[in-house]
Amino acid sequence: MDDLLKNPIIKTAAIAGMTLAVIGGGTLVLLPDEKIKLDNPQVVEWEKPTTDAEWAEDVKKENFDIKSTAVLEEMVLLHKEKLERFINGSRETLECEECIKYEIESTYPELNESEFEDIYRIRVAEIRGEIEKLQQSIERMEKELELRRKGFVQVEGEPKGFLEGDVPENRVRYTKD
Amino acid sequence: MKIWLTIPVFFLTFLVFAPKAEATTYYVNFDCATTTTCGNGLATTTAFSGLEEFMEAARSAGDIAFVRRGVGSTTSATLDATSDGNTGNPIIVSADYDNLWSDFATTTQTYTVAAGSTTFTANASISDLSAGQWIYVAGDCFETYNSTTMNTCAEAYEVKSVSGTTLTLYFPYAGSQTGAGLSLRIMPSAPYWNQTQSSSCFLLAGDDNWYMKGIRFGCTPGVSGNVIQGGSGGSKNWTFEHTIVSQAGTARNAVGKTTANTGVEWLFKYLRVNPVAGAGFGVFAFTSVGPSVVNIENGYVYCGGAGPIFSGGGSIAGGGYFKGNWKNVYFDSCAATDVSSILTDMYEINCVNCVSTTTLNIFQKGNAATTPLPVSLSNFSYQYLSSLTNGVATSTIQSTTTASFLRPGGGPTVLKVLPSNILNPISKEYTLKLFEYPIYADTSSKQYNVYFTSTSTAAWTANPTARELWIECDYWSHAGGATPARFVKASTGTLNFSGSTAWANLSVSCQPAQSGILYLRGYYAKPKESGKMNEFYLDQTPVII
Repeated sequence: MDDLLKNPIIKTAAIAGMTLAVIGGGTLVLLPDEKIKLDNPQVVEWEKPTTDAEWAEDVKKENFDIKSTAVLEEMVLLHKEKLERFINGSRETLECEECIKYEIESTYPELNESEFEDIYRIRVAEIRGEIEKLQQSIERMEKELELRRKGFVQVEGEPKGFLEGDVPENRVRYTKD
Repeated sequence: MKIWLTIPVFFLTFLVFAPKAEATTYYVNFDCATTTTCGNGLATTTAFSGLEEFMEAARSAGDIAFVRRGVGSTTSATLDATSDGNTGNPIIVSADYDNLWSDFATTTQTYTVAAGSTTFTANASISDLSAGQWIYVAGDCFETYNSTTMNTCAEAYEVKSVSGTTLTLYFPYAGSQTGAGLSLRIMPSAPYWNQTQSSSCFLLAGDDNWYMKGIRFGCTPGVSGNVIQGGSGGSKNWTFEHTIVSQAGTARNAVGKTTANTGVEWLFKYLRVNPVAGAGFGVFAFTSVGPSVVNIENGYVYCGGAGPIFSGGGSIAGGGYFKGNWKNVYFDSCAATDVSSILTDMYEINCVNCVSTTTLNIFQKGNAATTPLPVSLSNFSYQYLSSLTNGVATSTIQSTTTASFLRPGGGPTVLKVLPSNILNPISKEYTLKLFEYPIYADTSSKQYNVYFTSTSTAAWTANPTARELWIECDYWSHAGGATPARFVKASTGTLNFSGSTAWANLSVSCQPAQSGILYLRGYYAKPKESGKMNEFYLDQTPVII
């Protein structure tokens, strides 16, 4: 749990190859990929970049290239806080399957066991999707900030990064906030 | 004939958002692939193709997405949000009210309009309007070229039907224009987000502070879904304005929350629900532990003849509650509510100026043996439901604007209260809530006065005590930074209903420790005296000194 919070970015293999770590009994439990079959699994599909140039393009998918550095830094903090809050708030669903199933059965007494299972799995998938999305966004924001610090990309009107020299036009950021 | 009364509720709102300088404007056009180019969402010509491209990316407070009208999307994915706005600076998704895509028009005919009416009359047979389009009367709203902030105009209306020279709206006109010869501005239909698969539809899970305006949500939710669905992590301070919720097929419910231990705080302003699916599925389904507060200011709920207001999933087990302050809600063809599985539930719905086209009870609690409280077309009643196990409150409160009942120098409406004999001050569950007004208050001391009158001194034997009729302030009692705490201060005075029919006031002085929302409430808990009406009126407009 602590690792997940301190390092909210699950590494390449985690997002590309395995499903979210579930908090179980205070330790991280990795779910095998194909355990749950869902009609519409809320998972993050992401071919993760491996080079600075790829990252510089990837972050544009969430428009982080047009955000000023100060706003991006604030967004990172806020989204990390939200991620922690959301994980903590989802502990019961993820750690006490029987508790949630009892609540589902009380709510929908007309359903059968298989349908209770489906509802529970959908909820887990929704939580998983939310967490993965937050993690992806945080990683993208942090990567954009890193590229700016390095000077790989430069923001019009802001101090240049470490590299100091000019960069090609396609690596100049023009903010719109 | 539908009769609408506009009951002014005295509260201050501050809904004009001052966007932060860091906010960014985006554009969504469901049809961009065929009409322009879909792109990064930063211009109308490079718009996002779907709501998810804006909502599911990380955004900052104040970011806004304008959505083109007259287009729809069909998707198979659940819609979710990733980021939170701030209180007072939400993240906004708004249909186009500013003609950003240059597809508005002005009517060929001119119209006669009147406040409070749902029909406009054209000077000739209507040639350029149809159901589903939106209009506003020239002068009520203004379009801002290249706007970067939400158009706050509320006086835009969806067209319900057109026939000859008659234009019918869903909601009564509340704009400032009146008379004949008025042009209307035609806006295309609401952008239609439509999901056609079997999981949750629009999932609000752990996301707070959003404002959605002018969007139609359609869905065929699955076994655990609602069209607008509260999920894990709760969702606070969502406002849906000019929102349409529609379902198809064997849907579940329009609006609901089915996840444990999560709270929702939603406000619907001009909500239209249509249609609700068959028996067993309804408008609202709020279940599981965790509080739900859903307020409605103006609603048009069409149940299609079989659907109830609260669906079969209406059980709130283990201490949760469903609270709602509803004003001006029209229930069309709704069935009795199925809430037979309620255990220790708490429903508290204050429904002011609510009308039903059916005489079936739509606010029923309990099993078949419980006597329902009927709501009929001609009955404007305010109902307070509690978790009584032996029946429902039969007190009645009606509103009127009839001049002879108004307090001289007072407000434009009064409430007439006819108490029942099951009231009792020993418990809130046996107490009638007369009103609740949220008021933005600063730290100065103010005296809050509410005026009452009895209809006849002969209608009373004993006057209500201070414990049986009172008003109270609920306000912040700390100066900030400390553990949050609120204080409730009640009036201590009494009224001489048995001795005088003159208007007299109860008052309470309150001074919050910090600025914020103060709630002014009124309660009545005196059981009706045998052989006496115990009828009284209260002026709905408090006087604050």
